Amino acid sequence: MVADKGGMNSIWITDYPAVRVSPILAAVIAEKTKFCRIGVGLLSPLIYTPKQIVQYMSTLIRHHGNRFDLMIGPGDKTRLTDIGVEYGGGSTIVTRMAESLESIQEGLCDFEDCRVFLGAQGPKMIETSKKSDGVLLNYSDPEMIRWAIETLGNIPDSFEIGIFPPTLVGNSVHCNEQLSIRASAGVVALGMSPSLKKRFGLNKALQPAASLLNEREKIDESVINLIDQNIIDRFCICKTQEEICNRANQYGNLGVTLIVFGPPQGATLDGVKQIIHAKKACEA
Amino acid sequence: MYRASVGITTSMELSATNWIGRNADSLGVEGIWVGEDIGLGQETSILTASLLENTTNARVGTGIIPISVHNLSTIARTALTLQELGRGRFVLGIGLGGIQDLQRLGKQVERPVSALRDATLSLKRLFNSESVTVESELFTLTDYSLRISQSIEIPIFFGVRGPQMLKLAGKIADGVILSGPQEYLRYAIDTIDKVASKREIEKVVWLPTIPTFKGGSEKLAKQVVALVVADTPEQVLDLLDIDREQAIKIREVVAASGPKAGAEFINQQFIDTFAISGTKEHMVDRFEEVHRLGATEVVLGPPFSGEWRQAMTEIFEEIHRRRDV
Repeated sequence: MVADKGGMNSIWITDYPAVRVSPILAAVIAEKTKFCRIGVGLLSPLIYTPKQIVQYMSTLIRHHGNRFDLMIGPGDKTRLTDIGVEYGGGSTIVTRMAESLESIQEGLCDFEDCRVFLGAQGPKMIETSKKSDGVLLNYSDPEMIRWAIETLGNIPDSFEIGIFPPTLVGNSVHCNEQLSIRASAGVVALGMSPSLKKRFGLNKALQPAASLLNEREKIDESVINLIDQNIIDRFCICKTQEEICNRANQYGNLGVTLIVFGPPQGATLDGVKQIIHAKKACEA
Repeated sequence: MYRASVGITTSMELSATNWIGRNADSLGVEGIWVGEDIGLGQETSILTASLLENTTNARVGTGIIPISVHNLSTIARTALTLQELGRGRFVLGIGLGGIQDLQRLGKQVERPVSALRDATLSLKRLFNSESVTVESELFTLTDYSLRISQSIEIPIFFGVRGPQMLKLAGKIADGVILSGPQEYLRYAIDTIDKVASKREIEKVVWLPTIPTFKGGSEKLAKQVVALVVADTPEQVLDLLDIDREQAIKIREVVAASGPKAGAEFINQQFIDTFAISGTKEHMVDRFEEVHRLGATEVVLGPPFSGEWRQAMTEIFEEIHRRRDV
């Protein structure tokens, strides 16, 4: 309600590995808000069948009107393994996402206002995202974003280029002290494909954390602590109220049309108020 | 006294489920059960959330979510989310899914009793804020938890039929959703109680209900009864005094061509055996009979046809009128 009244354009609700089920929370938010669009996802077609995803979205729209967008993507490999979901190989995953995207778009063809985004990272998934209404990238580094936009090449005017990194914006921000945002960023960094790590010179720097992850089969604080803060910073937004406007402008100049300030920003009332304040200050 | 509830399914029209949600409290509806028609109509958890939001008194449950078509972590997360939304009014009903549905989806469960047992015990541990590692026929969890600091109370009800499943329910479920003829209900309740010993287990009886006093569609009623007959296991049919050949024929036709085709073979004897129909007084009489068998909750509907809103209103008025006497 605070975000809606504060003028935020959209509220996105993340799903697994978050504990609550995103479409149910989307229904609750829709009950309590009037203006904002509501984004559901990332929903993984590896956890839910395309038919189930269509059922979630069509039910939301029938109950609450044309206010919903969807983001699909495979999700984090390690966390999927925890719940018995097979990720498959690098090339098959792109094919599976493309097939799922097609089924979902077909299932939602009666709901034209519901945009379907693809969460992407590497070149093949970014290429596949061109069949969707937009891409959401989970990194924050301008160099990486520029590369992703170049990889997209020619796109229709209506295609959204979005970013959805873990975010902390406030009066005084020290991301190196915040495990939650370090962990969210670390999970993304470690989940990158080898080719992408190589392209951005992350292979060697991530090696100690990757080895410990292999050994422990889970991402815990010890694994995260082995990732250098400079790398973490490429996968999250940690800015003060003053700094965020410059960064947002920088993203806009690159061609980014949608910035979703990811968790933990929206997890607290104060975080929501901070981001509303920042948005208003930037627009003033 | 029994809890008087309403049953709906996900394939019902939004206008119908919305009406029930908006009017449940004022009608004196004490529970709403949401049956998942796999892959059809509204999504179960969103429909359940809407009912929880629109009511303040009624208990709302899934009746049932099939564990064979959802990741168990999703079922656990859904239950947690709905429990928080309903502030203690949510009940998680689970089962394997209807025979016909599973056949249609090409799903085969080799060891159904073990699968449901493993799922239930895992859910209970997750609700108890534990981290769970388990490998079962239908799911695998590795060091998975709901990341809750305190246990949450989410009653788990089973929607089951066969003898082994009923015994399992008696051992580990908080309640059971039963459907079937009177002879079967007596047998099922007896089986559950014997195993449960002194443990209190709620018995929810959900039968197709067909009010004839407000222009209900006989055709639709027959379709629903055809589906129930087709979904009734052999062991249950053995208990009944019905035309067995006719029952087998109905099952074959429903499997091959769906409940519409099966409806042609439904006669009055099948309707009387597998459903509750008639005037409101007769229907409430039947509810009371079911309660005397041991049911703690009786569920009205579907199918809903004709002037069903008025019929439902009058049936609940009749239930509450008798309580006041």
